[in-house]
Amino acid sequence: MAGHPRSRRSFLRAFALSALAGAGLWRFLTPRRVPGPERVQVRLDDVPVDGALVLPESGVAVTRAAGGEVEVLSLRCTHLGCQVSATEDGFACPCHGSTFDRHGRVLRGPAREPLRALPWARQDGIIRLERPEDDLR
Amino acid sequence: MNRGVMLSSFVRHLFPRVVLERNLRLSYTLCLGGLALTSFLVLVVTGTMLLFYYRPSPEAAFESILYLESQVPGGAFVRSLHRLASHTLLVLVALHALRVVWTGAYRPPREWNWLVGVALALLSVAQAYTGYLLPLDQLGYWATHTGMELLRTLPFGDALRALLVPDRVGGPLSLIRFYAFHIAVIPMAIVVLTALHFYIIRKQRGLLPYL
Repeated sequence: MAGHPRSRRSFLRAFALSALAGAGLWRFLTPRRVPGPERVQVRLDDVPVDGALVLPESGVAVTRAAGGEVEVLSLRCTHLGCQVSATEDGFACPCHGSTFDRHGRVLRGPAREPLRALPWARQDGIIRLERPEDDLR
Repeated sequence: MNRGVMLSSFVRHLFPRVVLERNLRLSYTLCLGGLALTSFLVLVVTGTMLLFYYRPSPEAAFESILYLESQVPGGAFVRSLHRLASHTLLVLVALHALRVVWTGAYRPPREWNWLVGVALALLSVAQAYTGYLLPLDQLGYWATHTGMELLRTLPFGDALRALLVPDRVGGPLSLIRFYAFHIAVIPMAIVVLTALHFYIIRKQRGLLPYL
């Protein structure tokens, strides 16, 4: 636009309009998340002693030590979010080979954080838990 | 001006009237940009053919690929060609960039066209990446999982991720979003910037007979 320098007024108007359009587009493209946390419940009797009940669809494993202590671990690898599989002595991630022991502690990297332990509650032999939204991605 | 004249004049101006002989040497550009364009055209044709069978929903996507591969005559061929051409495009774009650096063609007065080229290279990567998820096979699914985690490490990464993945990786919203980017948004941007890329070359008298 040689010879027609843009006036401050027209620049500001164009700037404001693009900002408005950008904000509108952003709202359009980021809808409210519908699902919320995922609720899971399992019967304690279904969890083998000295083993684990793995629920790949829900992304959690309910483990029970030989002594009977129950733990709920998220199957989401703490490295880059792939789903770990249960192995003989813990968990292994198929993406980059991280391994974890039965309590979710890192045995081999690249993961540096242990698998997330999720809070749970027991009532009449039923274990209930919520898998938080930030763990679902 | 009637349509016939417009068309013939467009075709006439597509090619330069005069060229420098030394610019016609194959070693001058190695035709890498033109070959990249050719790969892109192959991708457009095969991609359009794939559109007739691909179904962008988590339940149907993988099944539609299996159907294409096993039941559609030439389906596996067209899909393989699409995949191969996408690899070829990325390799050629990288070599083209190397050639431009090698011959110093990024320097003024061509610096703006270098920037357009960088944008095209990034769009090509984005195009390959969004296409990778679409079959919803294990490889694409988990690669996208890890890729989206990597995205979050960037500045504004969470916002970028929210734009690409509104529900969860492989969920219905994110699949159709990758699809929309792959078949509409990014290709249109590539076409516009490619036209600009070539326009600037002609404008700056990069005298190449095939442009």
